[in-house]
Formats: sequence, structure tokens, C-alpha cells
Amino acid sequence: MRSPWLRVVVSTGVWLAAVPVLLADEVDYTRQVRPILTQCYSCHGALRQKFGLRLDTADFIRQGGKSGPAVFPGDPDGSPLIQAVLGQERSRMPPENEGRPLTREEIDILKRWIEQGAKAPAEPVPPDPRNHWAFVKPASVPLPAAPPPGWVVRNPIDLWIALQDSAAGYAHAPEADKATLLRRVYLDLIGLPPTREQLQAFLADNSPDAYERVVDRLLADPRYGERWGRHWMDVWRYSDWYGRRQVPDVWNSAPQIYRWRDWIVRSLNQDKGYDRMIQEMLAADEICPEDDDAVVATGFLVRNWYALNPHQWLRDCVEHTGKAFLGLTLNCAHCHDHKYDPITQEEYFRFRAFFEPLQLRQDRVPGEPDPGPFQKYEYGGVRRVQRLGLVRVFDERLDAPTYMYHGGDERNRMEGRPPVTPAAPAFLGGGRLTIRPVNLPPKAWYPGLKPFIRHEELTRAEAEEAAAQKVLGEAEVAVKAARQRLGEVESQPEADLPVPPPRFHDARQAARAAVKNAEHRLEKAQATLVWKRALRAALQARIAADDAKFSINPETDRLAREAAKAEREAAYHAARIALLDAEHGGKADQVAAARKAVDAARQALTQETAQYSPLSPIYPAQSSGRRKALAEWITSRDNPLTARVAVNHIWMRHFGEPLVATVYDFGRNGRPPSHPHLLDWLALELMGDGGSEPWRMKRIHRLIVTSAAYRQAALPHPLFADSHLQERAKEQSQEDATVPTRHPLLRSPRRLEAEAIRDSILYLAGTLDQRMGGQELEVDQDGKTSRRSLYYSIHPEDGGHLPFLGMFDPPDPCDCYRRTETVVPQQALALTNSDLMVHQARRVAERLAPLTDPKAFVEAAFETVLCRQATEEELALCLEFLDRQAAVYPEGTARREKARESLIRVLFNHNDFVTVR
Amino acid sequence: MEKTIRSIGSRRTFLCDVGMGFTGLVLGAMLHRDGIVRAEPTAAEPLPDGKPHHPPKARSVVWIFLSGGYSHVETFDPKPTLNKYAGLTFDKTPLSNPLDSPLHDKRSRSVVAAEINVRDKYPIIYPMQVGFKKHGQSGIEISDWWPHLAGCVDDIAFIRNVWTTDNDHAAENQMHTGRHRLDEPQPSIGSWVNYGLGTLNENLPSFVVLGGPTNSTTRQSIDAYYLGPRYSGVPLNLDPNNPLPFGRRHPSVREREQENEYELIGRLNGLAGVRYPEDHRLRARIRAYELAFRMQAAVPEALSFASETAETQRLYGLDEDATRVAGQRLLAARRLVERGVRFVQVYPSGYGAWDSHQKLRENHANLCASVDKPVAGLLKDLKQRGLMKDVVVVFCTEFGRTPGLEQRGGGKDGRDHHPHGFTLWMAGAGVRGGVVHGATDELGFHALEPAHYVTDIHATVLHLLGLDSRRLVYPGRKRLEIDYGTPIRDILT
Repeated sequence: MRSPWLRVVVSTGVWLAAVPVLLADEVDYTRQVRPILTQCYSCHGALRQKFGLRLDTADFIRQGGKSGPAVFPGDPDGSPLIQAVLGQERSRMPPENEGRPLTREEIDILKRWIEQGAKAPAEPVPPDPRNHWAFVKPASVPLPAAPPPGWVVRNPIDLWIALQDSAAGYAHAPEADKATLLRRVYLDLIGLPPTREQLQAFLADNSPDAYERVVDRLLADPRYGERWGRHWMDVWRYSDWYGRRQVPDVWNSAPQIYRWRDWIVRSLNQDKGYDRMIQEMLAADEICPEDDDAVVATGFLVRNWYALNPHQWLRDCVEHTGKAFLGLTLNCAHCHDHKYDPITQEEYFRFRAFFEPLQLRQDRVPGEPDPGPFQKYEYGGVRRVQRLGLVRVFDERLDAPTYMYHGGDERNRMEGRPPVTPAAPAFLGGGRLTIRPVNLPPKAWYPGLKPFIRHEELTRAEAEEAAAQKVLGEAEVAVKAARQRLGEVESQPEADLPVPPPRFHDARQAARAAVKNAEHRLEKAQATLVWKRALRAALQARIAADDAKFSINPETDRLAREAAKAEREAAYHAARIALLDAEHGGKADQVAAARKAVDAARQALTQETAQYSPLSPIYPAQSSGRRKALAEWITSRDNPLTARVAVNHIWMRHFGEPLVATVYDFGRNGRPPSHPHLLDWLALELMGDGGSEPWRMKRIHRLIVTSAAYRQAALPHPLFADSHLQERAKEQSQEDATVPTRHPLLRSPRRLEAEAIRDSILYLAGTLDQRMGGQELEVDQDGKTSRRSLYYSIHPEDGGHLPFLGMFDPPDPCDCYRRTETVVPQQALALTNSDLMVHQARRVAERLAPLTDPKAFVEAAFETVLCRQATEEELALCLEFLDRQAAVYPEGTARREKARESLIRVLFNHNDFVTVR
Repeated sequence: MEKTIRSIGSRRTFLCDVGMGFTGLVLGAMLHRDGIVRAEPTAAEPLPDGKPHHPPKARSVVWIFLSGGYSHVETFDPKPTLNKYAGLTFDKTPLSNPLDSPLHDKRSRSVVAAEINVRDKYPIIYPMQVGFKKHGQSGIEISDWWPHLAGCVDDIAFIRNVWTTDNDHAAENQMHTGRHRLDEPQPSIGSWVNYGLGTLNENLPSFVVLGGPTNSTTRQSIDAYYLGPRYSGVPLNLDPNNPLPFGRRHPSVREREQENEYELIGRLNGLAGVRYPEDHRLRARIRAYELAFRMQAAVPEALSFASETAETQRLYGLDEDATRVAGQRLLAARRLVERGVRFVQVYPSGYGAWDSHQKLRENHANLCASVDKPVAGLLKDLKQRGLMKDVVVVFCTEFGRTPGLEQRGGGKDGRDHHPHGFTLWMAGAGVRGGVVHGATDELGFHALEPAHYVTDIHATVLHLLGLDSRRLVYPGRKRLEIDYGTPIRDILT
């Protein structure tokens, strides 16, 4: 606690002299002194030694730094350590903004410790941070030969667990029953439960590989990509556009980003290598620039885009590339050197330099009109929702400089420091990456060369020409008819004529006006046809000129001039049409302006130029190659982090608990792995050490879900057992943060994710629309549509997810490396009162309607909704409920049906429905 | 919950108020335990246990937020100097030019990158658009647009030296989270309270939002972010027929029918509990169903004004069109804190309503008239019910308005956003009344040191609730020095 009073006294620095030192109590270095000094370690420890000083062992403290010992045993007031913590404003340690000042009690402890001789038991020297477990490449360790007795081993995963957990005295849980296992693996791999038929088939299948065959089928199921796609969307922070939804004004992400979501689903279903996925997300535009299906993967970077401030975009790119792929909190080195990991502030900015040249573009896609160039930010301008084309990144300014700044605020640029060059942290071997600029193929930097664009443009020009031809024909007929009418009117006596429209004096005048109008339309139609022909000719000339340009044809210049001329001709005809319109009833100044435009267009015809309009925007023909180098470094086998971070994410989503609790921080401030050998073995397997194709995730899934560990019966996590909580409360004060969290049983019952709950309800009712992919649906489409939940709009603002999902801890699109899982009353309300529940429960009951026998109905309902058989007791309760419930409804209504719907609702509200055991 | 809360005995034992006493604490702790958190607690980063860190002076908060930024110099911070030098530019007065102060850049940061745009500075002094008068025993001056609140100044502590940094409307979120739009988001103040103390009435959400969030972009103001969604504010609708999402029995389900369903759910889950005696989540779920069933009745009851006398309704201005919306929200707030809700965040007016770039006089006169009586009514009502001893009221906005005339678009009668210094006030439990704390400079431009960043307000509120902001941590999440704030002890009893 820092009261103003204390601050005053501390800054005077005299008060302690008056406090008598209590010699009676011997100060314990380990228990009392060390905890006070730990906050100094980031600058005076293994990581860094400012002023040459380390404070992380008593020996180092006595040894001191450049200016001599930090303590003089027996002389607290003369010890520099005490002077430093008592120092005035600027000389005080820890410095302002680096840590909190020590309290009077803490300083008293330090003084007494020095007074008593600064004694300490022998202690190990903290290791070099560069040797932190996660910063050293996983090494292949020979598999243990045999499991301890009593442990079932189905694959090496089990060997590693058995080895570690049996030594710690933990037991193996029995295998889960077949129904439980089937439901678990279905929900785990495809996010939907098995149907009753699938359950019965599996129960009846006694072949030894019945389970493995189910696993293989599920891994080949396209719904696997949707299920795991949503998981990876959590990690990679998928968000649809947001900003100001009411306006609507796009500030973050992009409206077409759904193509990245579809790429994720597709890539997972293809079992694309995880390394390749990272490479495409960071640099598809450099690695496979002509592959539009892959280039949308850069949605990973697009998602971070922020209209109002490009610095923020780059900051998010750094932070989340670090957290998602490397398990590194690079962002902590934004304002100062990292407090735990050997990452300097300069390295933070060098990492940013990989992304510095970034900009967004939107490309035309086949079958859709041209979205035009990407709308850049303009102060006060509204950035409209663009629903055409694909959005992706490209390097706009290849030599964009990266300047370092202070305090996390780009306004405070460091004076006199040259811009930094791109590099990854040196301690991970990223300090000297070879970065070569990438020469892009022409179609990548000038999309107008793509055959589909030419084809669609030509088709359109032809269609417009044909339409103009048709209009011309109609205009000719209309002129003839109008003239004939005029002839008739003029030949008739006045009295026989019909009453003219109010605008005209007589019918003859009206007929003459009609002729004039028709003639104008004819003239315009003639001019339009000429214009459309000129446009088509110009398009053909532009394409010919493009062809020449890109095949280094000697006639390039001539063709370019022709294209330029053809375009000018078309423009001249367009100006003439405007003049015709102006002359037909326009005001004098409009006519004059139009005439001037025609003159200018005519004048332009005489100018010689080779400038013609391209068929699309033109981007730089080179990319910096920075992101390609970064992606290759991240996915190199030499990178100690990438594979470990990935398998930890996969493991967590199968078991509910990760092997490394801090899934985005494998650094020194993170938690150590509960099963280090297992983690490393899995990482090596992912990288292909077992001789399989490297980086294939389906293989890792298969290994995990076919292990005995996975197939164990789920027992509640012992960390949440009452006995444990009581113990924990007692121990909390003494707990050492460095002790790994153990997960000895490795399987706990857990709640289904929000999406899986909604999707399963719809699926069991037979109403889930299983079409895949496409533009996101707005949240108000829920109920009117019933697609899988991942296809509905999600973003971090209000209304940014389906209301039903909102009750079940939906992902936070800004930060969801790991989901929260709660149990709150609002979940019960959503599961009892929502339209979704009432309507879908009715559908389930209807599907089971053929079972007229109540007992058969209840049994089928249990198998359908909960994927298990009802116990005798449950059966009895439910049968009694059906009778009691039927009596609630008035006679003459469909009492039995309503009672059955009601029972289905109850079963959906059973804890077993939202729980995976 | 039938019984309303009456403050009895010392404040230390206020938990007795809800008839829970020790049980209340245990329940609070249990609720904390039910949340299955993402991170493991450690000795340095323990999870809260629902108990305050020190004896609290308040148990609940009514946090009134006026969106858009009300002008401090036309509400609670009179600046005669503005009238004296009206029409002059800052550099033509004998006072030092506030635009040249180093504080200027320190206390404003544009979300829009500097190279894209900088916000204009407005140097022409614009006079106050309303008069000020002294009121009460304390003689505190507030503007003439607050005739009802004028009667309450002796219960209020005005804080005239608050500053923030965002010079655009994301400052609304900053007021609640303490972080600028370009910094990593943090949980909102209501979420921290909810996280730190849990609930006093399980039948109601413990962090309620009325009239908000004002806009899709201000969700952060009620969001719990990394604390987990269960600690986020729950927006309640003042329509008692549909007060909270899914909070009403589906029209096609009969009351008796649903009772039977809940009963069977309980019995089936009970059987599961026999099968899995160690499953903590299952036990939590069984209890969640019991609570849900009660909540479905308790929330509409809490929001129904049927039992409020006509006199009370008039006190809040429910009988007048101009004040009805604000009045309903504030009366509902009183009913909620009375029933043990910890934190009620009330938005009496809509998103950006107070944002008076033009026609400030007209805009502020109307808006003040729409909230003056209801807010004064709340203070009087809390007082007459003895709730001032339990409830702290905060009245705030995201920033003040420029002492200079906004000239954008040829403007001649408005003020721009002003993060450099503004006024908010607090009243109620543990707060000294009739106090003016701090000041802006003579022009109403910069908050004078020691000025208060918005997290000092958070720290003050937490302190009153018995919480030390430094001890409110979440495992694995680093908070910065600026996040903690320091309680403003001068205004505390």
C-alpha cells in the first residue's frame, strides 16, 4: 500500500535511522529476503545485469556490480542496496514505472538481514535464460521400454504418461464405456454427437478395431474441418469486420475475411501441413502469389488491420504472430526490454519490420463485378461494407522504415536512431535471416492480366453493345410511329381531335413534341451504339497492348498508343451523349459545359500518348520477401517453439487441459509443461520424426484419440475436488509458482463449447443446414437459418455473436488462446426458454413419434439426446413425468405430444447433454 | 427475494443485510469457485475469495455515465475567466497559453495516427453559456441548468481535476477500463467489482447495466475481458415482460409445465450427482438451475414499479416526458441496489448525446433538464431510505469540452472534446458531502496537479467497497501501474 504519507517519509530517507533494529529475530534469506528481491531480477539477474549487478543469489549480492559490493554485512546504512531502495525520486530503485517502491517493512527486513551478516544457505545459480526449457530444441529421447505394471499402453503417448505419473503415485483410470467414448470422440473430432443409429451400430460392433475405424471415418469427415477450424479461429483471432456497426463503417478486419475462414476449414480437411498453413497465413502473397485460394490465408494479417492507425495494425501483427505460433509474449518488449525473456526492445521493433511494408488490397474474383481498389482511410469518411472480391495483403512500400519509439506511443520516436532492419529474436537464431526480395509474376501484381477478367470484361462489352443495338432498333420503330401519328393528327380537322394533355395547347402540338422526343432518343441510341462499339474496341486494344507489353513484343508501343487512342475515342463519344442530353431540354450553362467537354474530348484525340487504363489496379512487381523469411524461420525444424506450441493447443482441445498451462506464453514467465517428455515427443512427431509426412495434424489427432489416456473414463479434475481446494487454501501462502501444475488423470468432464451446444441441438433435431462456407450470416439470421455456428458473424463488439452462444462463453475474437468455461444460471435460462430449444425439442419429439410405447420413447430419447441408455431409475422418473405433464394440458389438446416435447427439453437440460465425459 | 435490504448495525457486518451473514460470504466464495478459470492461481496471483480486503464503507455502486462528454465549464466547474476574455485567443490573455503546456500532449492521444490526421486545436475563448450560483451550506457553485441537483450539493463531492487521454469517443471505454483504445483492453470497473466481491443476491445478476451499452463500440465499458464473460455486465431491459435475454418463460410453455420440467431436471441431475460424486461442475449446474428458476421471477419483480408510490415516481420525474426515461432507469437502479446488486451502470441518455460540437447551449439545457430531477431524485430517495450508508453514487462522463470555441465546419456555438481536465462527482456511502476537490486552471483547460487519471476514480470506488485495486489481480495477466490508481482520500469520510 502506498499512502501519500509513506511516500513523503520514504523520500526524506531519514525515518529508518530512528527505527531500532530488532536483532532478536533472525531473518531468513530464502523465506523473507528473496521474495522481496524477485522484482529486481529482470534487470539484475540472469537475464540482464544492469551496472554489472545481479541480485538473484546472496553470493552475487555480496559480490556486487561495477561499483563494488551491494551490501556490507553488518552495515545496513552503508550498504548501496539500502541506499538504492531509499533513494530520492530518480535514483530510487526500482525506478519509477519499473516496479513498486519497497515498503517500510520490506526495507526493515533487508536492513536486519544485512545487520545480521547477510547470511544465506547455499543456493544454485539461476540458469542462463537462453537455456530455458522451451528455448532449447526438443531432443529425441529413447522411448521407455516397458510400461509400469497396471498401465495400459496403446501408443507412445501412454508410455510417457505412465512413466511420469506412476512414479508420482497416480493410478490409471479404467477405459470409458463404449457409448461415452463414442460421444466423446464424435464431439471432439466433428463437433456433433453420434446419432442413435450410429450409437447402436457401434455398440453392436465387437471387432477389435471398431473404435479406430470410427476415428478414421471422422477424421475424413469434412465436418472435422469445421470443428477444428473453429478451434484454430480462436487461436488466430478470427473476427468478421467491426468498427461502427450502426453506420456501418468498417474500422477493423474486413468484410470479405470469411474467405480466410473457409481456407482454414479447407486446409484442415486437406490435412495441409501446419508449417505450410503458417507460411500461407503470413506470406502466401510471396510464396504462392498466383494462388488466389491460398492468398486469402493472409486473412491472419488482414484481421489485425485497423483503419484509423496503421501502427496498431502492426502492433497486433507482432503480438499475435508471437503468441499464436511461437508462444512468445513479444508484445511485452514494446516499451522496454522483456522482463523475463531475452528479447530486447530493439528486437521487438525488428520483428515489426517484417510487417512494415504491409497494405491491403481487394482483388476481383470470377463471377463477381469488380470491387475496385481498396478504400483507404480518410479522416471523417465512412468506409462502406464491401461485399465483393477477396481481401489480402501485399507489400506496398518495400523500403518502409521502422522507427523505434518510447513508451508504446509512436509519437515519441527515438531521436537519432536509424530505422531498424527486420529480424527475429537472436536467442532463437533469428538474428540474421536472409531476406531476398520476391519478384512477383505479372498476374500477381497486375490482376487485370487474369484470363477471367478479360473474358468477363469482353463478354460484358459485347452484351452492352448488343443491348445498345436493341435500343436503337426500338428507337427507330418509335420514331416511325410518332411521325405517322403526327401525320394523322395534322390531316384531321381540329374538332375531331381528342382533348390534348394539359401541357399542350392542342393535340397537334403534343404529337410534334412526341416526334421530337422520339428523334432525340433515336439520336442518343445511335450515339450510344457508337460509344459502346468504341468501348469494346478500346477494351480489345487495351488487352492487345497488355499482351504486347507482357511478352516484350516490339510493337508494344504502337499497340499502347492504339489502346490509348481507342479509349479517347470512346470517351469522346460518351461526351457527345452528354451533350445530346443537355441540348434536349437542358439549361444554357449545362449545354455550354457539355459542349466544352466534347471539345476537350475531341482535342484529346489529337494528342499522342501511350497511356491507357489498366484492367485492374497495378501493385508493386516485387515483394520485400520479409514475411516469407519470417514464415520460413518460424516453421523451420530448428525453431524450438513452433511445434511444441501447436501440439499443446491440440492436446488441450482433446483433453480440456493443456500440457503447458500458459498456452501463449512458453517463456520464462509461463508455466513449465506437466509432461515435458510427452510434449517433446509429440512436437517431434508433428515435425515428422516418426518417419511420417511432417506437420500433418490429422496424424497427431489420431495418435491422441487412440491412446489409452484419451480412452480413460473421465473423472472430475482433482484440482477442483473439495479436498484439493481446502488443501490449496491452506497452502496458498507457501506455494512456489515454479512447481508444475500436474494433470495426473488427464481427462476431466468438461462443458461443450457454445457452438457445439447449438449445433448439436439443431443436428439432433434434423434441422442443421450442413452447407459449408460462404459469406458470414448476420446474427439476426439465427432462427431463420440453421447453419453451423461458425458461419455466423462474430466480432468483439456488442451484438458480436449469436445471442444463444453468448450464454456459453463464446470466443472473444480479440483474445481466445484458451476459452473460459463457466456454469451460470443464464445458461439454464437459454436452454429452457429459447426459441431454439422449444422449436428443436419439438422436432426431436416428432422424429420419435412413431414410437408409440412411452417406454420405447423414453429409451430412444435418452439415446438420441444423451447418447446413452436410461437407467431403470431414470426411466421410471421420466415415465411418471410424461403422465404428470400430460395432465397439465387441457383435454382435447395434443397432450401426449406436448408432454413428450417437454421431456425432450428436460433431457437437453440434463447436465450430461452439455458435458463431454 | 421478498425482503428488501435495510442497513443495520455497523458497516463491517453489512452482509447481514441480506440475511446471509456468514452464509453470504460462503456463498460468495462458492460462486467464485464455480467459475472454471483459464489460469491457475498462484501465491502471487490469488483468485479473490469474495471477501473484502479491508472493512468496506459501501456495498453497492450506482455508476451513472453520461455519454458524449458534458461540458465541465457549463455544469460543475465555473470559469468566470472565460467570460472575461471571451472572443480573445489564448495567447492574447495575460494567462499562460494552455496549448503550449507540456501537459497538452501528455494528456491527449489521438487514436488516429498522427501522420494521418491531428485533431484541431481551438484557441478562441468561448464564454460560459449558463450562469452559476452557490448552493447549500457548502456554497458550492453549480450551473443554473441543475435546479434539483442544487438542493443536493451538500451530499456531493465534486472532483474537478480529472483527466483522460483519448480525445475521441473511445474515451467512454477508457473511463470504464482505464485504458486507451490503442492499449491492450482491460476489464471494466464493474467487472472488477463483480470479480472481487461476487454477489449479495444470487437471484439477480451482480453487475447490471441499464440503458446500455450505448453503442456497439462501447461494449468494452461493461466487458470483463480476461476475467471471463461471467463477470461482464448484464444489460437489463426495463420491460418487465422481457427483462433479460432468455429470462422469460417461452410463450408456448405453461407455468406448471415449466415447474415440472425444472423439478425433473433437478432430480435427473441429482441422480447423475450420485453417479459422479466428485464432479464439481455438475454440482454447480444443479445449483445454477435452482438460481435460474428464481432469477426468472426475481428480475421482473426488481424492475417492476408497481409497488412504488406515486410520490416516489414523481420524485424521479416519471410523470414528465422529459425526465421519464432517465427516471425509470435510475429508479430501477435504486431497486436493484436495494436488492443487493453490487454494481449498476446506468446510462440516462444515449450514445454521444452530450457531444455538443454545435448548439451547446440548447443541447446541454435540454439534456440537463432530462437528468437533473431524476438524479437528484435518486440521491434524495437513497437518503430517505437510509441507503446512502450502503450505496455510493458516481456521476461521470468520458471527457470535458474545450474552453475554446469549436470552429470546425464554421462552427460558432459549440465546444470540442477535452480530455485535459473535467469534472465528475461522487456521493453516498463513505463519501464526504459538500466538498470540491481539485481544480482546473483559470481557463478550465488543464487539470491542476495532483490531478486524477480515471483509474483514481476506480481505486476510490474499490476502496469504498473494501477492495485494494493492487490486490485485484488475475493469474497470468500483467497490470500496469496506471491501472491501479490511487483512492482520492480527500473526499472520503
